[in-house]
Parts: sequence; C-alpha cells; structure tokens
Amino acid sequence: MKILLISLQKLGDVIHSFPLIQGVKSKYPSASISLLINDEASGAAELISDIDNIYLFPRKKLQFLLSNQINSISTPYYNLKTFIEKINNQNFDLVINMTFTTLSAKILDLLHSSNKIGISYKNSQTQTKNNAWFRYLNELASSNKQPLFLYQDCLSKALNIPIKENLTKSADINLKNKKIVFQLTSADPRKQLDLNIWNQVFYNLIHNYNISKNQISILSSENEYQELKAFFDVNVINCNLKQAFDLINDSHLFFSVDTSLSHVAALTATDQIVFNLGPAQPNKISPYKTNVIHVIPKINCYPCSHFKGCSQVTTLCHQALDIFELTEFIYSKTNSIKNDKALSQFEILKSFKDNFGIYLSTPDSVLRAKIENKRYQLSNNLNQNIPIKTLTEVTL
Amino acid sequence: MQFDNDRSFKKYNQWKSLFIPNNLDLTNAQIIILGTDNSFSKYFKTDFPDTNVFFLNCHSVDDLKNLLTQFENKKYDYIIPNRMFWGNADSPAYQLMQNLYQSLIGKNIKELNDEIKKTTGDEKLTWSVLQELVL
Repeated sequence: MKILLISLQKLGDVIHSFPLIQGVKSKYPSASISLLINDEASGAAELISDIDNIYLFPRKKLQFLLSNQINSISTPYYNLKTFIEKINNQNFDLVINMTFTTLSAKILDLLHSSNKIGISYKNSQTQTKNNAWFRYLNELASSNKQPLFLYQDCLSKALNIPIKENLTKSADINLKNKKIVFQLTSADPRKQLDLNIWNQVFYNLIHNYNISKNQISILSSENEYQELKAFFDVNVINCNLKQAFDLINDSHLFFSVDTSLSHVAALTATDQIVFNLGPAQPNKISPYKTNVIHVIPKINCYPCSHFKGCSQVTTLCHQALDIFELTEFIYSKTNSIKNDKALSQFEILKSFKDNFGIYLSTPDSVLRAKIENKRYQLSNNLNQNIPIKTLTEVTL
Repeated sequence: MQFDNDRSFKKYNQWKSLFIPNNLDLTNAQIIILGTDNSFSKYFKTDFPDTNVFFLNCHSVDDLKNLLTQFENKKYDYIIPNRMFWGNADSPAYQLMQNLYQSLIGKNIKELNDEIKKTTGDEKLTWSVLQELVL
C-alpha cells in the first residue's frame, strides 16, 4: 500500500505533525509512506524516520515565477502541472491531507487516488465530508476564532489516528550535567525579549546561582550567529535542525520563545519551558509532549493578533517580567527533579505568578468539557471518550 | 526588539498585513519596495533581516522603468508597493501607486484571473492553486 501525507505547513508545524505521521505508520505498518511538504520546510526531513519518500512542493519557485515579469504566466502553470503529474505517477492508494489551507485542499483535488481523506475544495468551497472535527477546523480557519485545542489533536480525531508521544530516549539527568539550552530569537519581535534582559539573566545565573558558564548554551541559526556571538558571553552554537535536536536531547532543560525548535525539543525527553509572548498561543502551538511548561502573560491584551502590531504604547507583556524572578524560575527548573508534579519552587515567585500564568500541557485536561461548553459547541459526533490534549493551569 | 507603538509603526503593520501574507517567506528574497521613509525602512529591516530589500522612490511609470534598469542584472522576487504611505485612495499619489502596481505585479494577477475564468476542470484548479500563491 502506498500512502501520501500532505503537510504543506511551516517548518515548526511540520515537525509538530511528526507524532501524527508516526501514528499513520503504526496504523499501516507495512505501507510505504511518502510526505509532501513545502520546499522551505525541507529541514524537517532530517528529523523524521519511517518515511520512504519526501516530495518538496516548489512554493518558493512558483512564487518567484508568478511575480517575475520576464516569464510568461504559463511557466509557473506548467511547472505546477508537471509536479502534480510526477506525484500522480506514483499511484498512491491513499492520500491524507494533514493541512488546513485552501491551497492543500485544491492540491488534494488534483491528486489521483481511490481513497482521499482530509479537507478538499469543490464548488468554490472547502469540503469536509460530514466529519465534525474537520468542520470544527474548517470553521476555525475561516473565522479567526481562538483555537481551543491543538490542531494536531483535532486532526488526530478527524483522521481517527491516535497520537502517542514517541520520545527519542529517556533523558538521564546524571549524564547531562544539568545543561540548559536556550532559543531566544524569533522572526516576530513581539515574541522575543530584549537580548539585554537575557544577558542579565545569564549574569545572575552564573554569579548568584552557581550555574557554570559552560552549562548555558544558546542555539543560533547561521543568519544570526555572528550577532548573537558578539552579544553574549556564553556558548552560542550555530546549528542546523538535526544538530539542535542532538544538543537539546543532551541537555537537562530547554527554554524557547518560538515554535520550530520547541517542536524539535518535543521529540526528546528533555524538560521544556516555552515562553509565550505577544501573539504566541500555546492552545494553538504547544509542543506535543506531556508536561511542557508554558509561561503566559496575565494581561488583558494577550495574545495580540498575528497580523497587527502591539496595541499598547509599550510592550506590556515584555515589561511585566522581573529579571530576578525570571532567573529564579529558570534556576528552580534546572534543579528540579525530572517530571516532578509539585512545582513547589514556583511558590516563591509571587509577583512572577501575578504577572504570568504557568501552565502544563497534559493529555488529560480536566478543563476540556468546561471549555467546550463555554466557547464552542462541538458536534455530538465527536468521540467524547478519548481525552484531548489542552492546557491545564497549575495550582500553586 | 521593541518598537514604540507610534503612528508610523501602526501604519507599517497595516501595510504588512496587506502586502506580506503570513505564508510568504521573504528569507533571502530580493525585493523592491516602492516608496518609503526612514521609519518604514527601519521597521522592515528589523522585521525581515534576511531579506535583500531595495527601496525606490519614483513619480511615474517611466521613472520607475528607468530606476529598474539600474537593477537589470539583479533578479528580484517581489515588487511591493508601500501604498500605506501614499495617502487615502482618492489622492493623486495613491492613484499613481495603484497604476504602478497594476503595471507590475498586477499584470500577472490579472492574467492569472483570466486563465481561471476561461478554463475548466483540473486545468482551472491548477490555475487556482497558483492563485493561492500570489501576493
């Protein structure tokens, strides 16, 4: 059996979908699995196993051809047509659209297969084939409503493919020397703190908390490496996704402000803290892993829109942070026992707690039914017996 | 990186929401932005540090063509009008920018829409996939 999975998302979202892809493999263990991803997300290919072929959708090339006045408009058309024919020549028995965009829906319609699952596009509108979870996703995509559940959870339900955490290996705290790895930058400036704040946090950790300078590493892409290296007095490591995975996997704690690497870290057993500032919403992008700690601003304007700038005179969610409390929070997690549930050391962070909520991602949210009733009435067709991963506020 | 939330930053974000869709990756892209000012270019360069951007100020289509000849050996991925800085839709400056836009990117979009109208079946669907990819 030949199966094609369509995941035309951004890099972080593709990595986020790995547990679901592995779920497909578990459901069809003898099948040959192929994956269609955007060319810009090709880095994800290094991190996933159990995939026989990866097709890169030439999004960037097509966009270039479309905007370039030198080419005829038919050039991108024939490029796309040839690409679709190449995939159709593989005669896939099953095609699953794991993406929720009009683009992916149209591509699903262009692919030839006797069995196609997922959102499609016909009669100028997206089609969900009477599946309540697909309808929910479809409505979400077109309404700008805040998501209640992780996208991958909804997709898992819609496709009837269970997701299991599949961590690479158990972290051995004794071998790791309590290394802390940080990912501090984001393409969206609202999601990242001023780097001066981090310099002060590192100074405090080293001089007041006996954290060795060698314990701290900052992950960097090639583009920002020189800038970060010149700015920080701790290890700055220029790495690709696979190298980042290895570094995180060999660490005690990973701290991130953006999605891509937090999804990479979710493939490891390393403890994780995700700082959600500006438009970052854990309900939408939380790594698929139990007990990831999310720190969320408790201010009225959070989260802000992806499409608009900060609505405040100054960035309140950044200013609400106290550097000493942030340092103490990181230190407390560095010294906590892995998977402890008590989180008792947070109790000393009184004003930190006042300004920020601390949440754990958990597969068994007690809030699920309450949230469902309050904010969205799901169809009776949904399977109510299987728990949905969402966020539960930690009682301190 | 923090910005003061002044009027120009609001305008910049309005412009960005109109012309830079979320799914448009400008990493390492060569782009030309028509019309600019200092704060706009500061915001843009901070927002898209890996984009090679050229800001051009021009006053007519011919003026623009002359300027573009200076880039004749440079491939550019996108030309994006900085329309938010050209006043309201009735202003002469705005109308000029609209014309510039139509003479550049707008040409391809129009051809694309024409193809979608006159085709059917998979051919129409293929054209409409391309439509999803344009600005």
